[in-house]
Amino acid sequence: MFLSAFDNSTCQNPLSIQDNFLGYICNRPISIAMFGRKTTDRLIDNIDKYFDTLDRSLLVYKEGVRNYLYSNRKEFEDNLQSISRFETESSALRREIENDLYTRTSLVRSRADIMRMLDKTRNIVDMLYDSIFQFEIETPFIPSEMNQDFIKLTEFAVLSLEALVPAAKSYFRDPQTVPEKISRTYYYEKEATRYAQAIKRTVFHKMDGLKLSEKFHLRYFALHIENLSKSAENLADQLAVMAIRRTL
Amino acid sequence: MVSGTLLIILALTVSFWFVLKEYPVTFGIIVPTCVLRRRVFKTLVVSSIAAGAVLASLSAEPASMSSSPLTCSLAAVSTIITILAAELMGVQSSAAAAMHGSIAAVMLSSADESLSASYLLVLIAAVILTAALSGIFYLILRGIIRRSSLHMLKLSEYMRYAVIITVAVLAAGIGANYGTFLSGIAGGVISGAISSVPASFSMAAILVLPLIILWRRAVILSDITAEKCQEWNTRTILAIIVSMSVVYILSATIRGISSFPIPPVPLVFAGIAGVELARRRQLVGNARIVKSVGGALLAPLIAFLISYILLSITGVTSGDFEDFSVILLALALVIVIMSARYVNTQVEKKREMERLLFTQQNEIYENSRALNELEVKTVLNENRLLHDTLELKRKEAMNIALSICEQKEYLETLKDIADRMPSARTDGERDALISELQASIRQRLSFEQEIDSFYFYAQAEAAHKDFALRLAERFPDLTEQEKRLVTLLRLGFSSKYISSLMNVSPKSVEIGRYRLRRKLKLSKGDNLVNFLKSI
Repeated sequence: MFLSAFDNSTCQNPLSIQDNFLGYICNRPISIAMFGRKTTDRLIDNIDKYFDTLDRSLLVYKEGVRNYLYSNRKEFEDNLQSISRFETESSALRREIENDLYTRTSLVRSRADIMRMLDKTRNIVDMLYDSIFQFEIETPFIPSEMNQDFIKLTEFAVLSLEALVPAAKSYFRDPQTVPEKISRTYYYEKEATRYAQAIKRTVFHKMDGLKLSEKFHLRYFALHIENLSKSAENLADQLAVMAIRRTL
Repeated sequence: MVSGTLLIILALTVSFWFVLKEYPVTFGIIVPTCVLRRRVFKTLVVSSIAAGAVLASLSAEPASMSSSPLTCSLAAVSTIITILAAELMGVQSSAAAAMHGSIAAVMLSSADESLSASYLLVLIAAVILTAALSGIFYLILRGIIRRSSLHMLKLSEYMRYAVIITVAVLAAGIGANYGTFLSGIAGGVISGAISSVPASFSMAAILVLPLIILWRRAVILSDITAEKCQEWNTRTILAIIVSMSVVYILSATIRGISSFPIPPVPLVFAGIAGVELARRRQLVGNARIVKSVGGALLAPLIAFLISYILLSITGVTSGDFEDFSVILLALALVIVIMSARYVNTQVEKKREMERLLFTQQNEIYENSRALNELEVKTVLNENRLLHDTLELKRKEAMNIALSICEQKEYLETLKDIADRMPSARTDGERDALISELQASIRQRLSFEQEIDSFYFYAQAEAAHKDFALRLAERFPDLTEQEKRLVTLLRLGFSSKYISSLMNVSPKSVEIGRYRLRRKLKLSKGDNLVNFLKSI
């Protein structure tokens, strides 16, 4: 009778209803506490802090690359420490948010989307961390005439990521504005790709004085900075889909 | 006594029907919101229904429908026939609505105008109002949410509170509605039978006890509903239950219709239809909505007709039960047959599903078994192949090593002879040494041929170990030369090539073949090579 209320087709699992759905009941997610205003406020704060951490990481990364290129050793070391700290902070925040989201809220449809978004942003922070530490470990030789190009490339990559932070925050409050906010990400991503290609072309076509290994090294670093903008584009695509789902 | 018992049974039928058929659909749509733990949800719903029933019964005057056992029996029979018929046709119906229809027929035949035909109109109005309100509430909620710029989590929290409050109001509304109806049917009987307990509490108990007893079952059934509406957002569900709550509040407050039972299931579907119109998106499907709403509207009509026809047949509205025992027995038989048919249909359906599942499981099992066998065979074959290859390679390596050693020894012999040549004093000695060298080389040449052959035989035997064993078993009197010939013939070599390998003339090979045919006892028409291959 109940199946016919919604769907005339026979039940997919022909076992007795009790056997079939006892498992479903046992596996249902834990439902939340009845009242949790403080939890909600804390969760909102944590999410905002998480995105602020990403924002700060981007600024530190940009500064770090600049300091490396201009051989400001002390400042570069400070940047490394800051980014290491931000990476730890964002991991801890992400775990706390995940715990609260699954145990304290009733966002059944949206929490998977939110966690996916947080995972992608965590990956971006990890990429920033890895990228800047690669500068420290591998100490690539970057000819001084290429400094400006690398700084520009870094700026575009960082700008593409920076545009995502307000878009991600507005997903929670005003999902209709997400598409217009992420359009800048796509623009900066294209610019970053263009710049990266220009750098690679210059290195391989014009810099005959460089050894092949040095050329590869430079290409590698340009690629890693370019990949930041690509991950920004992926996150922007996901945010667009999430915003559509929220408005349905 | 009889009529009182029948009325109480009717009241319990309505309650059990509510628990098993109406509760899962009504409260099942709230499950996907995950707003409350199951125990808290149960406590909230049960206490709200009980509270609503108690409050409504306090204000309503407990009455009994009729003191005639016959009319009570006919009302019961027509209710049961109606709901069974609806089940058999796969249409949603309501026991309370059917009962109300039967009672209306009884009242009409006894010229009691207390229950008018306005019940259908009230039902239709309730359905339309719910649909309209749910659409409007949905649009209002959507507008508020869009303009408020509230954080998603805060919004979720407020919606959660709203759902909890609305669930309580809805449950209380249903409890009040059904409580008033049942109080009007059987309240007088119960208050008369159990004078120490107020009729309101008895009504609440009649409504709530089946829910507590069958809670597990109700939860399982409501999870079926929850599966269907997992993708619905909280806004949709809130709009539906708010509109239903408003309708129940109105029905409780408006005089004259508070005793009309309003089944919740058609209101749920009306709410869904309203939201579908507002969203311009199908959630369930028009056919389902029409079936559900239509079934609930038709149930009192059909029950009324059955009841009225039965009363017309019996010709009286009151009388002794025994006078019409035959008719009642016949009706009871009809009910039993219909129930049996219904149970049979359900059992058959279940059996069919189990058979289907069994077939599917069997297929899966067979497929996975065949796959496993294939995998095992493949692995075994691969292993065998690898083992054989390894064996072959090992032997090759050994042979190469032996050959190298042997070559080295021979070269040392030659070196020895060559070293002795400069120290030869006379030509004769030198010639003797040269002859020795030539003889050694000649010998070597013929020996190498033999070694090649030997090496070749060894390889062939190693590759066809089984064949050599089988040949030895079947024909133990074959000589070594004959066995070599058999091996070469089996490998398909021509007589010319065999003669070269065996260091004999082609004629000897032919003679050897002839002798072999005699030893293997082959007739004139038998092909030697085919016979050897068949071993």
